[in-house]
Amino acid sequence: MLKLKLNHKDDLFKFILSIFVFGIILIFFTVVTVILYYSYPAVSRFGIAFLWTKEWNPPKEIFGAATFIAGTFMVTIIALIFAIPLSLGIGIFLEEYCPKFLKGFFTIIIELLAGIPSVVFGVWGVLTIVPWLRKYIEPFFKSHFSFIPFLQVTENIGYGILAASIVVAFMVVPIIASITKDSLAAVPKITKDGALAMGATRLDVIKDISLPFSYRGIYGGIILGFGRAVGETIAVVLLIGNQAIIPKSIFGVGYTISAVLANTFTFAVISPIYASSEVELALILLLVSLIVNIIGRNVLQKVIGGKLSRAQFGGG
Amino acid sequence: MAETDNHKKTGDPNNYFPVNKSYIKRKKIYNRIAYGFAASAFILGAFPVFHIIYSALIIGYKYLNWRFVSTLPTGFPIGAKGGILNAIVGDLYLVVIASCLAVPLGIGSGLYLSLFGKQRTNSVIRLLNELMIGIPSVVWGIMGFYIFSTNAGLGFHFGFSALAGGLTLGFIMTPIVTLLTEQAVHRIPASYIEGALAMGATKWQATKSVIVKAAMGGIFTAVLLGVLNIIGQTAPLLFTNYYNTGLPTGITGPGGAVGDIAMLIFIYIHEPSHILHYKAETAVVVLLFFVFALDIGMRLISWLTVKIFEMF
Repeated sequence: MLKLKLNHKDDLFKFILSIFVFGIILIFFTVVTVILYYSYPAVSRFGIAFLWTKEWNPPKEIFGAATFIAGTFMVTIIALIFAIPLSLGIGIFLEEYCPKFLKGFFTIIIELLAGIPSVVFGVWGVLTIVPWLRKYIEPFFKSHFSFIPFLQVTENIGYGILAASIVVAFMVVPIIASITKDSLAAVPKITKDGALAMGATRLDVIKDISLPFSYRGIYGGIILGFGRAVGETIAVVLLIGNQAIIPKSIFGVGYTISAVLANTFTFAVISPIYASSEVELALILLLVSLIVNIIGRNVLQKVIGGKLSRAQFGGG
Repeated sequence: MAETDNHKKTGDPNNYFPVNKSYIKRKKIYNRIAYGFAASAFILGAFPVFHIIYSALIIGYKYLNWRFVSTLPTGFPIGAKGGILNAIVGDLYLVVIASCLAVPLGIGSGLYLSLFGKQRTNSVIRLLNELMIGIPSVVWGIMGFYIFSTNAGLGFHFGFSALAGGLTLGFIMTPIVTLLTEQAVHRIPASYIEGALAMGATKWQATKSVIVKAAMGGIFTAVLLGVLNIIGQTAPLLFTNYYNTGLPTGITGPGGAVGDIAMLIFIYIHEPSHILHYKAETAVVVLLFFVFALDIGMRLISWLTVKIFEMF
């Protein structure tokens, strides 16, 4: 960028700043090294079969992650099924349809959704979504749709995959919606105006110009949303029911990787192989998040210059 | 060719194109329907924000008073009487410790990335930094346990304490501060920095006298957003600090654990007691107050910075 001959004072300044940068690199490698180091005993003992062994039995020292992986991906996929249309609608509304003077205010509301802590979402789920599912949705599905696979209601308790998915969907919406909005905003205005001047409706502009132009950014947003949903912990612990079974229906209870870590990791450290298996679960989460973020970042780099918007942070 | 011959058929020289009125009407109706879908998606997306605040307030207003934020939890089960002072003090401890780590590290790295370094090395550092933002908080918690809290093996052996929890939260906060500091420096008009350098200033002098002043608002926003992000974290604290119903006596070892509002909510909502559920909802009001206050403060600062820039 700026090429100048550095003098001694600048050398010192650069040296001090590079210590800080070294700190950042150190943090990254600390987390990767710790997870790899402590999961090594389990990785070497169970091998790749860890991923599809269903039994998780600490007293017998048999550990397999299949149940938790299934639960995690069920919650994530169902959450994304809810979140994708919702956030596409929000992004399109904010960028194309919303009156100008309300746009800033409405955007702030969606960003506030991103800032609400995970535990607050969990409490809201326990006190609002779960009773709602128990009272209205589950009896309705039980009496009308029980012949459809994946929609059978066995225990009418409200907790389960669906409750967790709904809440996780609302936590993912701000990410996908804000990236959709940013990608739509990157569409050249002159093209849109040209189409409008030729008599196209807003819908034609969205369908034929905006979405084809910005679909990459939307993919990127969905990928990052997937990464966020996979690692979601506290809200899921409170809502999923915490039973180590592979759910046969979206109303069934289950367990996710993050939930089993949050619930049992502090007990697990007593036995080295148990603790190591739990760290291996964390390793799965870490690898998924790294891969997903590398892909998502590459996709977004081409569309909106890799500039993450505000809704990326917050929560937890 | 039928379309271009239209004016011959109708005899109207201005009507070059066939106007299919029902087609246009249908297009307009489809557009209306799309508008309706988009607007209802927005309403559905905005609904949780208001419903979360509403459902917390409707229970919280009965218990929320000065005593709730100024007394320690007492009674049986613990927390049935008294307030959440332990959690507020604990959050203060955690935020201060995390900031001590994350603010210098984040601002320093952000400045380095925008002022020094080769293109290629910087893009690697940026990649690592952004990947860290995506790592789930429960993974950070496990790392924090093995680095800071554990009593056996390698690590610092701080025990379940404010220092262990705060430093783990600092790890989460650092990449956010770094990313936003770099963006804040990039937003300064290039002429400011180039002007200072052209006058013979070193990069240190330019930083001291121009960049820090011009990017002050952005850097402050970065720190506040980092604090906003860690104030609601629960999962990392499960393994590094857990919870304390009293005030801490130190920051490491036994008695070093602190309370935390998010952790308190998480613990209270697990208890089979209505009064604790109500207290949890009241604590949600307090937590949301802090979160929204930080959020609004941040927006005010960045808005004011933009205004001040426009003045000159």
